Amino acid sequence: MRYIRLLILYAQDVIEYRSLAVVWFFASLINPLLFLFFWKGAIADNNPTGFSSVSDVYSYYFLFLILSGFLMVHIEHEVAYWDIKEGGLTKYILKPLPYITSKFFLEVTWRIAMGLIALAATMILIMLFGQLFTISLTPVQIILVILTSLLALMVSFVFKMIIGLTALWVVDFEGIEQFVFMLTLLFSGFVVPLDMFPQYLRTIATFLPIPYTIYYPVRMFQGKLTLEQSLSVIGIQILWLFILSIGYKAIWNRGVKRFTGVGL
Amino acid sequence: MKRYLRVYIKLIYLNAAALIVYPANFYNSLLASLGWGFFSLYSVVLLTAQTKGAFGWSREEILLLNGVYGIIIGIFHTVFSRNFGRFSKVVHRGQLDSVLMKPIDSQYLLSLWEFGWVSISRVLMALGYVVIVSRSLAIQTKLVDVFLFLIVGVCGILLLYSMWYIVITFTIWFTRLSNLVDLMFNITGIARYPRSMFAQSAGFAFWFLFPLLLIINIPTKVYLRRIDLGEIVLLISIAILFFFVSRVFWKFALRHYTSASS
Repeated sequence: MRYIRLLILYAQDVIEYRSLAVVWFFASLINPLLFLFFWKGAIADNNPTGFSSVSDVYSYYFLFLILSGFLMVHIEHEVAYWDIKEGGLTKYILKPLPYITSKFFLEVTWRIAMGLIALAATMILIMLFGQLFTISLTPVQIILVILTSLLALMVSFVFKMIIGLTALWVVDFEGIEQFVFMLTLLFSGFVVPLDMFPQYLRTIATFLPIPYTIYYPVRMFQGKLTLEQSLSVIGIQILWLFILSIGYKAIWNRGVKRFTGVGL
Repeated sequence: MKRYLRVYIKLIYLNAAALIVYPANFYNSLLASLGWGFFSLYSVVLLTAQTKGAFGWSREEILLLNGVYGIIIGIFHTVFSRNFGRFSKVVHRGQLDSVLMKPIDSQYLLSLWEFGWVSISRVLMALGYVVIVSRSLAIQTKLVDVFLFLIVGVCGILLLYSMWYIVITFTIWFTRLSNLVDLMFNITGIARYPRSMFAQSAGFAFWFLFPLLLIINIPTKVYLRRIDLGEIVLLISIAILFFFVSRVFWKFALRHYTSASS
């Protein structure tokens, strides 16, 4: 029950900052649209490999847009600046609820809002421009997509919490934040699907949790992965969640001893 | 004019001093700047890896367009973007009061207070990239081309600055919209694609984006020696017009500034 209360409380927060959410959405809409325009023209001119058709391009970038709304966590900024630098962590330490739980519900509320805005925008575009793409999934695939998306959200969340906590050690967090965001965009398949990466980048990607936070859920949603590949992705997500959770606990236990809330 | 120049030199010097005092911040910012510089250039390499070209531009020409974008946006980041980043904070926390009290133009001070030394690395990276791409295009550059490129490049930066200033001025009314800067970063990214791409795909939005699409496309065309005098005049005229609008709009917005906490 208290978790539902938390969700309602944070939903009020999202509603209060709704104008920010809308601006965030428009900012996130621009690049997928640019890539889409580019591929449409490139396919018309040269028939490049990688995407089989314009519909394939539409489904990739629109699903990426929707799923990044639901799954691309940005909690590290709040953790580093508001909680660690500005001292807001103090109030969380005093609460009878783990810090990570409070932050998880806050982020989930934002993700639901951003995902729904992206979904609504896609629906409007489909209504305006006709059926842009089709998705046909079996009931088993639907269950796997839901499962992988939930795991992706959790992997992404714990990963970004760890990044946020590094602010306990570094004075200027902006560099790390920007660098990790750049890596996230690159290895989440934001520009092109990982299949179209050169081999060395694909090899690097296999050692990172980032592709498992958005890219593979998108590919599963598109129906591009076989049952075996989908189960393998879910297995790796569970492994990453386990590794990152242990990492988070170790960093939190050591880092919280360094925290000083000045002037509170 | 001399006084303004003296103030700017002093500001550049103070920003350099801050960089030396906090070396960890410098390395951190350098990491981010180089990371974004690399991503910005490499993302188009990835995007075009499996195409020979599109929209009447060869792959190498699209890469060059992206390199020119890297140079212009790098200079923009060095001189202006950090200032736009602090704009909403200055307005939201009422710090604009102290800016307005100073015996110097407020738009000038708000636009040039911070100097992003670190972003020079992005300009250098983009310059290296342009040199490499130019070799594959076998472009022979003459002094007059460089001069013309500099003129249109400066006009492009002026146009970009004015567009950003007009949009960011809205924070006078909507002080919570701190992420307008992020929106502008994304919108600016539109400029690194061929103009014909939007003419084909963006419908009526093309006309809305038209000024933005001049900023990089025209300097790149000048560099490629596809010089069109009409387009150069158009860029110069639109840059001056937008700068004038940004001044008028800022002065209008200041009449609605209600301050905070002072």
